[in-house]
Amino acid sequence: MQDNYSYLAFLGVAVFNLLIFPGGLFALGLGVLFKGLDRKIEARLQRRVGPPVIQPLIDIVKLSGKEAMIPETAQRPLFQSAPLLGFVGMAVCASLLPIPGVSQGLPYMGDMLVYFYLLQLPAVALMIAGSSSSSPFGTLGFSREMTLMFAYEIPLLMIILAIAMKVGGDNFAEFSLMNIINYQEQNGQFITNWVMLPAFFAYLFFLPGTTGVPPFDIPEAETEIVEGPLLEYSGISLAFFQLTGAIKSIVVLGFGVVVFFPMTLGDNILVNILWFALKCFILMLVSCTFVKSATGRFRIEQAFGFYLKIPALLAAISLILVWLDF
Amino acid sequence: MLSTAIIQSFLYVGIIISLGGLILASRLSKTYLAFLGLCIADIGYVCIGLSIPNDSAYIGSIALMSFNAVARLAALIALIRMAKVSRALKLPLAGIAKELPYSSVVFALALFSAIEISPFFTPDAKHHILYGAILLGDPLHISSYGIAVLVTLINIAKLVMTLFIVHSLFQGNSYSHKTENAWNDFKTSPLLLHLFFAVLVIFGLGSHEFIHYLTTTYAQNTFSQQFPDFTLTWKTETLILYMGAALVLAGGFILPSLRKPLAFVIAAVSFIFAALDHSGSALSYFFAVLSGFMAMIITLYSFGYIKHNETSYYALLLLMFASILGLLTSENSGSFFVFWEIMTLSSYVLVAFDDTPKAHYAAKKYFLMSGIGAVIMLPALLMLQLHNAQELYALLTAKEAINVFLYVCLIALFIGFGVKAGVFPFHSWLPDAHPAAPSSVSAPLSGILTKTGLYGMLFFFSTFLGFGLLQNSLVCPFFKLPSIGVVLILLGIITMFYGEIKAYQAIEIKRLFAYSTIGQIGEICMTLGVFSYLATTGALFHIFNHAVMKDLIFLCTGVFILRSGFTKIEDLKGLGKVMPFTASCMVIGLLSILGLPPLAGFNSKFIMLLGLAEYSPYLAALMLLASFIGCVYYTRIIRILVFEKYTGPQVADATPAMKAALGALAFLCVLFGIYPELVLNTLIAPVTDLIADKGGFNLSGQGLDLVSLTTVTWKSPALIIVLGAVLPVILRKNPMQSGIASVFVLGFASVALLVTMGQYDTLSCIFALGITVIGATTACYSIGYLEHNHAQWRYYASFLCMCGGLVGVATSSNLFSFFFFWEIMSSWTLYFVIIHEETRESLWEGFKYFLFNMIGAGFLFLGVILTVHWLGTADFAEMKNSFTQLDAGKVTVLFALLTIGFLMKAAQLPFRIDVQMHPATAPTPVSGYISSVLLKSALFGLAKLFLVFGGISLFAEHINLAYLSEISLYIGAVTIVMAASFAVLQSDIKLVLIYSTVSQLGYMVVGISLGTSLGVAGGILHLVNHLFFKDLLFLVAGVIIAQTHIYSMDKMGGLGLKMPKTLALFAIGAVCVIGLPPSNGFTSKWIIYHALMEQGYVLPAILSLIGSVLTLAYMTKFLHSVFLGQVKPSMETVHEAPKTMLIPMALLSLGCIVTSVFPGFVLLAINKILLSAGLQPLDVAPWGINSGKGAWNATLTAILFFIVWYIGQKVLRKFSKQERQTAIYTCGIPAENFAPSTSQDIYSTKILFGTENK
Repeated sequence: MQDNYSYLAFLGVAVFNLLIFPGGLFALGLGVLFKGLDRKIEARLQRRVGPPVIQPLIDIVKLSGKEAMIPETAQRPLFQSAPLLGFVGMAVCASLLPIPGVSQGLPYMGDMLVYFYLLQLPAVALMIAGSSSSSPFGTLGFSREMTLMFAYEIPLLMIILAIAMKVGGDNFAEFSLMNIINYQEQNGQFITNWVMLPAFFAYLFFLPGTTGVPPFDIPEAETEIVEGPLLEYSGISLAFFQLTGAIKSIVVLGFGVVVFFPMTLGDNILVNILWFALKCFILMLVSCTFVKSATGRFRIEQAFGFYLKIPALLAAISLILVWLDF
Repeated sequence: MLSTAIIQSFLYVGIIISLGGLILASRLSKTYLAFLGLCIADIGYVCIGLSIPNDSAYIGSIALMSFNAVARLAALIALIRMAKVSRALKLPLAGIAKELPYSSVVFALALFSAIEISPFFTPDAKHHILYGAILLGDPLHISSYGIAVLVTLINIAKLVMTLFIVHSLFQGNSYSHKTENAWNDFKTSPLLLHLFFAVLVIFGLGSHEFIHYLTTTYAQNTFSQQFPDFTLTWKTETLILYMGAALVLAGGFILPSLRKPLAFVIAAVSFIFAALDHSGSALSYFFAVLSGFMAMIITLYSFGYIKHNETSYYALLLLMFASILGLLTSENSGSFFVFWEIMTLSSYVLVAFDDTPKAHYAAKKYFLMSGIGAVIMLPALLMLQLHNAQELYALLTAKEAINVFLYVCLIALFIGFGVKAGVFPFHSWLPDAHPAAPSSVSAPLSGILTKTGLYGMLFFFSTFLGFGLLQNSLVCPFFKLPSIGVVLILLGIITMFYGEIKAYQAIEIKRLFAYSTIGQIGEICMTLGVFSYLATTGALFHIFNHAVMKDLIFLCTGVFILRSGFTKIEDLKGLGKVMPFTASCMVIGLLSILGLPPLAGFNSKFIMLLGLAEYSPYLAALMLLASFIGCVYYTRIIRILVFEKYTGPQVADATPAMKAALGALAFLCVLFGIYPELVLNTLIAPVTDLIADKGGFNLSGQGLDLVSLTTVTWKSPALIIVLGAVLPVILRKNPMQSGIASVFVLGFASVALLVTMGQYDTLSCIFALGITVIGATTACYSIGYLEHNHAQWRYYASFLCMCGGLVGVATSSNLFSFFFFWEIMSSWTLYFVIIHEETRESLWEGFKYFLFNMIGAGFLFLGVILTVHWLGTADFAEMKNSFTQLDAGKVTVLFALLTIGFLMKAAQLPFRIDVQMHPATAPTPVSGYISSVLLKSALFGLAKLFLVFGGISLFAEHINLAYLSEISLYIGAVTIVMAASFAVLQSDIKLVLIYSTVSQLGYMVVGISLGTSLGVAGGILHLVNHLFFKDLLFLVAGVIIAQTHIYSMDKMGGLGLKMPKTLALFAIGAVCVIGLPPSNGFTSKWIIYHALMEQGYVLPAILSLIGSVLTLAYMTKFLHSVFLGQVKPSMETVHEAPKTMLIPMALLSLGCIVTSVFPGFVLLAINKILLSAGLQPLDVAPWGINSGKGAWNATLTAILFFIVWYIGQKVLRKFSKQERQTAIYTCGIPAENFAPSTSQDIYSTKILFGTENK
């Protein structure tokens, strides 16, 4: 990789990716925007007026001015750093995301396995938050989050392997997102490939789980365990959790777009960015917004059973089909 | 001359008279008149002798007539005196010996002399008559030996009756309770008795001259042809002991205080003479030196042991050793036999020395079996005396069917020697005699007397007949037996298993060791049966070592029994604690007999196995199986003696003389373990050469340079550590100092390692460095952890030995050395460390571990032996060349054995069964060390041997290996998920980590089994990373346990508040083990995943990824249950760990961070390993892998993480200037009302594993 960049320039690009685009400001902005749109559309679907689209931003600004409250019995260092942990993971994740037709991501870094691991970070952060707050509700949230995470990670794992093997071909595997995009440019998008379609549906099921929206908002269930792990958070710390959620939605949606339908519209960068955002938005509408406005909440063991039955089965079908070289 | 008809009639008359006499004797056996029957039988015997028409029998008959007349008269006079005192000739006269010791002894001596067993010798009439009878026979017609058989049968009958008559005098005390001084009895005895006794003695001592006189006077033919030479061989050393026995007897009466030093000086001088006397054959020399040495040691030991009848004891002991030396140095079979009989007699008396019913029973049994064996053996001996080996073969080859004759001959010899050696089915005296005898006699019985049987076999089968000739001419027509070797092997196997199994069942400690002797004899016999150069060397070496070890063990046992008064094993609980010196010696002896380095038993066992494997690997496997049984009971004894709690009264340790004897033997055990060449070159090689000279010997292995084969490479770091292990022992009074000394030793070894780095290959160097560095931190940590613990010096010394073993494994340059250190590392050292706490659980777990480990080591042992055997070398450098010439089948077998052995060590499924490999009950620093370093030795071994055998090119040459490695890959992958699932289920903090280790080892197995550049690199990288983070995690667990004394997560909670530093360190370790980017765990797992997918192993890839999710689950559970959540009331008083514990942990976490951010440094070293394995090196830079599959830039990721973290932190600080402490929100319910959460509340465990469905 040092053929094209000097180390310093390379570092510069990396920092740019991290702070401005595709991570950093871009992802944050887009994420907050999506959050607002999501709430608005959901409200409309439920025949409510709904908050303004910029309400999430308003929330964050408001929160950052608030006093920080810390429980006396909390584990201070962990309690305070938990919000950061998830945020850092997602920020790095976002910076590694290649945008089709726009940016390549960092060479040899944007790899599905990295995503597999980093996507666990917000969940881990939530667990630590719940646990370190010393609140009994936090503890409940902790165990729920842990269970749920295990449930949705398994289908994700199989989806990743199915894609990797499909791209690698001949019993090999390719984890690099850039190469996956290139492969689809040559061989057609996976969303149009019947072999990969079950995996795509599995991914649709994965999305609400990982972003924690109904019917999978079990760990933070407001009406049940009063926000669970987030119960004791306030002020800027809580804002960080919201920011993490915003970036994470972009990361998982973007990841879905990249691996299933990365087709570009011409060569114009701006058009492609908008096109990418639109695809992400559609994915969100289909997988999250519509679903959550229409459903209640699963119990944890229902969610667990569900993930290990339907999405896992779907992903497994794809994996087996790929393995059998269809 | 009388006519032939008359002579013939003499025979029948003789038979009738003998039979009549014997029947009379048996009818009268209730009275002492039975001996009159024997007199009549003697007359018949003489008649038979006279009927044989040759000089030998004629002379023999005259000698018998005249000598037995004297002997029987002497006996009669003694009997009359006894009858006078007891007023009855009827039984029970039992125990009269106590009142009339002198007369009884004369009676006994006279009767024994009449059957030619006498310490004062007798004219060899029996020999001469039998010899004459044999002369009559024709080797071509076995039926022509009728008279010889007849004479032998009569001899047996006489022996049995004599024994019963004589023994009853000494047994029991139903006659009288009066115990008289022998001197009083002597004074009051009639003159006639003295006179006859004197005549008997003089006759005996002058028997040679008497026979000579007879031959010159009465011999009719030229007897040079026909006349046997039975001249006694009197070497100086024998004479010294023999005269010494008399001197002690005399001295004991005159000046009792003198007898002990006198006996010792005599034994010592005799030993010196034996050692200097090279006039005999190498075989004799070998055995004579051994026996002479033992005579000295046993005498010394007896100073403290024998408390009554000392004079007769020392006299008998010296007499026994005199006879042993006599028979060992004998130059003709007559002399051999005479000494043999004296040995039986003297040891028989010694067995009965304690004068208990048990002892009498055992002694009688012993005498009967040995005596009958000897009588049966005699004709065969004479046969060999008559015809020398060559002549015999010439005769035999004339007619094939005649082989039967030789067989009969050999079987007769075999019975005689077999009884002494304790070979099945002639062993049954042994388990009775050993426990019944005083320990100072059991020791030579077991160590030396049994060996004389083996000496006999070796002498007659190997050097006299020449095994080659024997083998060629011995094809049995009936059973198609190819050679007598097969008989030896079969009986050896039966004996071995019989002995080991019976020993396993034994309850009494001495009986146990008696059976174990049988087992060991079986092993030796079986090895001797192979009759190859190597096997014989091994067997001889083991004979030597067994004598040393078993004597040591019996002598130690003697001290224990003497001090405690108990003989049952269970009653000796913890006795070692109050008798540290004896216990140490005992442990050395037991470990040695277990075959563990660096003790003597290991070396001889190794060579024996090598010799057996040469013949058949199955034999070697059988022997390993038998030694495994041995392991079980030896370890049990160690456990009971040393590690159980002691409840009895305070007792003294051994006396100084005993200590000297024990110390000397223990020292020899160690010396021959470390420096086997000392014996191999001076004593054993000449013997083996001698046997080899007799031809027909399977010479394979002669070319093998045994000395280089058994060379241990003591590289400086290993040496430093092992020698350093003495420091904690010296500093044992101050635990702190001994701990610090250990840290310094390990630190110094690390430095030595760095200095001598050039000598080792990269793999070894990395591993060795890990061992010493992590070892030093663990030792440092232990200082804090064990602060108030007991026997810390023992812990540090064992720990150092274990590290020394590990470093030895890493730095060995030959296979023997590799295995030598392997056994040090994974057997006793680890056992001692694991059971350090000495709780019931730890003892049990340690025991399980030990056995399990032994099974693994058994596979490895077999693999190593076969490798050396098939490759013909143990040197790593030479192996590569020979390996390419091996055929596929052998390669597969080798790799299968080695892989099984190694995988068992690495605790991989399906070999782990439980967590044996890794007992949770060990002190926590040790658990950490086992996890992070010790279990890796398996992977190191796998990788090392793979490199040694030729690296990747092996796969190209041997397709089977690919399957093997695929199997181990799947085993590894399944283990990852299985063990991780178990870890999720645990609530014991150490068990979680232990299962986690097993799971993580799975990754390494998977990587290394792949055999590709990426796979091997990933595996080794994970190995190095795991060194740091798993040790760190264990030390964290140790801190928690040390501070709270709680093991279960369920009882913890909120510890993070009390121990923030520990929590921080834990977090670092946890992140690494989970493998969150950019931690080191991620880098290595990442490489392994890529390597797997590169090869298309989808299933293992899925399994290993699921494993990492599970890892996340159990680590967060750990974090939550232990550190976070609400503070339990019981945790309120907990404090942060002391600095001695925190600093090592901080160092380890630093290691974690450095390897996380710059994985490239380790990868650069790994590249060298890849190169030496013939693999394509990776494109590596300090930040990770530059290009290709698995490319990864850890440094950059770390920088990105840092940037975001930094910015985030700033923002957080900026906007949270105002802070308020609040109570937690509980919906208005008091916080106490919430049930405290436990790890069991976590849904995942319930749902995942179906324990509940709420």
